[in-house]
Amino acid sequence: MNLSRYIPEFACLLLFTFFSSLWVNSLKEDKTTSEKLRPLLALEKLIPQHEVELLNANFSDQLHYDQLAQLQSEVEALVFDVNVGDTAEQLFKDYKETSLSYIQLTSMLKTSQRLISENVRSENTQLMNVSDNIRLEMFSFISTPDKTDKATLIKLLNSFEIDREQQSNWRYLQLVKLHSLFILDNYELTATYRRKLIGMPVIEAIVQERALLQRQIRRTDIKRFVGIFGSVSGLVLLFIVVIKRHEYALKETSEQHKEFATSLMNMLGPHAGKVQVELAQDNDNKDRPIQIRRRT
Amino acid sequence: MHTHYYISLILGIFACSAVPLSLYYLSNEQSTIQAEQATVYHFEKVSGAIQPIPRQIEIDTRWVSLGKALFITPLLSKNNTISCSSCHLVDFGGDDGFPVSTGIDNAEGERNSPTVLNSSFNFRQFWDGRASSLSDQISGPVHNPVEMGSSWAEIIKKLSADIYFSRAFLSLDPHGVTRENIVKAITTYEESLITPDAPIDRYLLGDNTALTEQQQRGLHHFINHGCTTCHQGINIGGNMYQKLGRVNTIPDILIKDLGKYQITKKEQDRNVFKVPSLRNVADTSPYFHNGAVDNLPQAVRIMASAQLGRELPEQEVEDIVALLHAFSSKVIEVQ
Ligand code: HEC
Ligand code: HEC
Repeated sequence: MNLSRYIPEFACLLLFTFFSSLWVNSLKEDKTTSEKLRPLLALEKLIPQHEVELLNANFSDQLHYDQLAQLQSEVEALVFDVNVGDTAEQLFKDYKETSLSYIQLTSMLKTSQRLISENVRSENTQLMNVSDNIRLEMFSFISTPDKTDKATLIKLLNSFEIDREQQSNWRYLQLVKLHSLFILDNYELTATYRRKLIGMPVIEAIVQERALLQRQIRRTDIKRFVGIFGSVSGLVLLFIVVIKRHEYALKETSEQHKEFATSLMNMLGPHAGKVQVELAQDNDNKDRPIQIRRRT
Repeated sequence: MHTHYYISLILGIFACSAVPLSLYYLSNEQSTIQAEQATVYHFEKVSGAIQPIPRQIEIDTRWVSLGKALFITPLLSKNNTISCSSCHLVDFGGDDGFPVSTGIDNAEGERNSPTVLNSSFNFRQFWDGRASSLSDQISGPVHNPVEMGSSWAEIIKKLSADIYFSRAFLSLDPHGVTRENIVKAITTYEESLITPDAPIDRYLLGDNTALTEQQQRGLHHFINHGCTTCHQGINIGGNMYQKLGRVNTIPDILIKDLGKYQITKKEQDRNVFKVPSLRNVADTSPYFHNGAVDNLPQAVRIMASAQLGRELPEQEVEDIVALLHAFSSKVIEVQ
């Protein structure tokens, strides 16, 4: 058998295989891209909620942080899942760490400020003057941190001798001293974290990554379309080839039959006049293309 | 000749379709994620820093039973000597009562075993919060050579050879004993280990007689002195990191373990730990990450001084300790 006769069929089948594989491949790609997109879309929704909850944490009516913690673990799980570029990944990590540091300090600052503003009365007026003075300085620091001389204030606080034997309210003095020092140490740092969190282009990074994936999805869509179109074309072409081959075969047989009829007539020679050969040209009679009738 | 031609053609089409079809099945194989029925807690919100533990829970009890069996089987350890419950005694506070835990071959760990009760309400797991979820945490003890010293391959082999476990797994999931199913079972069991209805919860939900007068004084100090800065929410802790020694120095016995710093190496993480839950704290002595303190009054004094810069008068220490006893309750029954 001469296989090279069937090259058109082989070509069509090859075309079909190639394009249908492309189609299947695009389906798979589509799935992986959507799977990559899912955590990104979820993050895009959760991060603003998380940020609001985080920045609200320093309000005095925020008494517990369950909601924030819940969002924090959801965000962390998603950040663990997403597959993004190095810069975006670093940004997410940075956001996560900064928010964890921020909440530690901001929650404690709230308590420290409350504790030093509580009024405690004492008979020792000199002591009360000192502590009132410190509290005033502290409030001025909190309202305008950059205008206050922090170093002098820290020095003043550290020089503050606490004598458990002599001072009846040493507990209170120690409390004021330690919490004032804590505030001085961490107030500006907390504000820096806060500014950093607000300014962090996390959402922008997510939107960028999402746009990248969506462009990829569009490319995959085109690929799928080409795949479907190509494989259907391959099959249609195959169909045409088969039909053509069929037609060709028919024509060939009818040629053969014609030849046969002519040679038959030649063979009959002298009786030719008595025999009428009708050649059926139409396809309806293809079973019996030649009818021989005897004239009477 | 004709029939021959058509048969070859049809065979050709079949053979060529097999290529994309097999590609399709190959790519589809790994991504069959089974839909899970997640545990649902019915939270009750109240105003204030401490929140009650949900009294109602919807959970897949078949997975709970399997998880419980896994929790108590020694098959998860390398030499079949210890189980999760060796270090986490669920009926006795959820920890082991030792300063630091003892694993296989009597090897001593470095940290105190925390309670597993209510651990599903923690935002991260372990003292330094290095595991972000309960399912994440499980490979921790399983792989830690000091704790159980085993590996997933070994565990899966042992459980598959066990008649009870291989049947139990198969009845819940056609894939049988797999790493995912082991983790799912233990996690679901841990999610069922919650302790609602403690006196503090009943008090928060409106029963004013649930706390004694001393405990109510303790609650007042606990809130006013600022313990609820860190120990708040449903778990009275467990929802943030904090530095041990926030405003003041810490005792030498607690200074060696640097906590989160050991993972991140960042200065601001020095001595930072996950704030532990104070639920059932009266039943989980000894205290702190290394179990260095064996009584509650001492733990309270250390906390007040290191975290809040306050030397508490004895009376207040006693009141707060009385309150801490009101944080205990029994594990909820799931049918
Ligand atoms: C050898 C004793 C030991 C064994 C066995 C053990 N654990 Fe632990 N577990 C610990 C210690 C110690 C920690 C704290 C480790 C740390 O924070 O670094 C811990 C922490 C945990 C935590 C985190 C709790 C929290 O609040 O942070 C969970 C949950 C837990 N274990 C569950 C399990 C499970 C499930 C198993 C069985 C697969 C198990 N443990 C086996 C000792 C043990
Ligand atoms: C600044 C945050 C913060 C404040 C405020 C705070 N704690 Fe803690 N608490 C922690 C941290 C962090 C730990 C874990 C320390 C460790 O184990 O190293 C802890 C541990 C404890 C423990 C031991 C728990 C255990 O299972 O080992 C007790 C008890 C406790 N705190 C009670 C209190 C009391 C009472 C107050 C108020 C006087 C208080 N805490 C205030 C952060 C805080």
